[in-house]
Amino acid sequence: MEKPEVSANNEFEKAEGDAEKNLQHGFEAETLDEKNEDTEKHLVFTILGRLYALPSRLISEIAIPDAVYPLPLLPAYVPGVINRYSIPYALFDIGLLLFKTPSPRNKVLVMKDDIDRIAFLIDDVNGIADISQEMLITVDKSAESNDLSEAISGAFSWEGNDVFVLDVHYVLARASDEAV
Amino acid sequence: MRVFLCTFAGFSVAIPMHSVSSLALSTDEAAKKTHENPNTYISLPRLFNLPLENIRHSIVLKNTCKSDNNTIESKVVLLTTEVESETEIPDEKIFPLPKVFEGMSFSRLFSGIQLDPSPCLLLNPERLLQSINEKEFTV
Repeated sequence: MEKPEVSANNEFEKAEGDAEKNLQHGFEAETLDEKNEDTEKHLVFTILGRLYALPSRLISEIAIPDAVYPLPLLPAYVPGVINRYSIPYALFDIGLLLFKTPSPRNKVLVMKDDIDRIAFLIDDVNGIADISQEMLITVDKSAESNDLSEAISGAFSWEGNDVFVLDVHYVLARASDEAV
Repeated sequence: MRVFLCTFAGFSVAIPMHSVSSLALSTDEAAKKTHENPNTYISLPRLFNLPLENIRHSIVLKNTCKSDNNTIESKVVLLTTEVESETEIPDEKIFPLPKVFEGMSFSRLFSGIQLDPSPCLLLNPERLLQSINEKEFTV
């Protein structure tokens, strides 16, 4: 899939500029948390060339993984832990977990600690989208839904592309189930 | 917490001293399980799915249990390439494992992790013994 063009949205340009500047040290996402009454900011990113999003309130920072420490007895989709300010975060390869294809180790999305000390490998950040409830299509999780659709909590159209909102809690539950 | 450190490729394992009864040089003969030697031997490299290397040291854990006939005490002995050092790890430098690891075999062996200067996993001997009793690991 071709990488979509990045929005010229001023807010994103500012965020992207800051991200580029501060990537080595991590990118505080608090500035992305501002929420209008009926919209929520979503960080749009690619994993194996596919567009995904997460509400920015869940994200602590975007970083370049300078070192990934492999540890014993972890499943293949956990390539190891990363060091964020001396605190270990479990690194997840969603590409390997959901598509059985390893993701490149370009960047990581570090989740906020109240979710868990986890980070996801991503290809790149594509932008920030203000998404209202009307724009968000809820994915119906029927009995026939597959693993991939189970991992998606919703979808929206952005810059002419379909973007899928990842269900972090499902991904984590799925990871734990697979490991047993 | 005072620990014995065993280093492997890319990480080290810290074994709390309060769980250790004794250290010894290991020989091939020592691990032969006989009627007179009912101890349970666990090769740490094999447990971590690492290539088998020369086992030089053995670590006898304090936790003991009665053997099948209830007459001879069976001990759990960890076999490792080398106990490199004895050191102190400050409690505040040991982080609990991410919650997502719960349910993975990893969490049945380790109770914490220190990252600086390199990853060091804190072995949880109680859980290891429990896992052995429940036959979660093949040793």
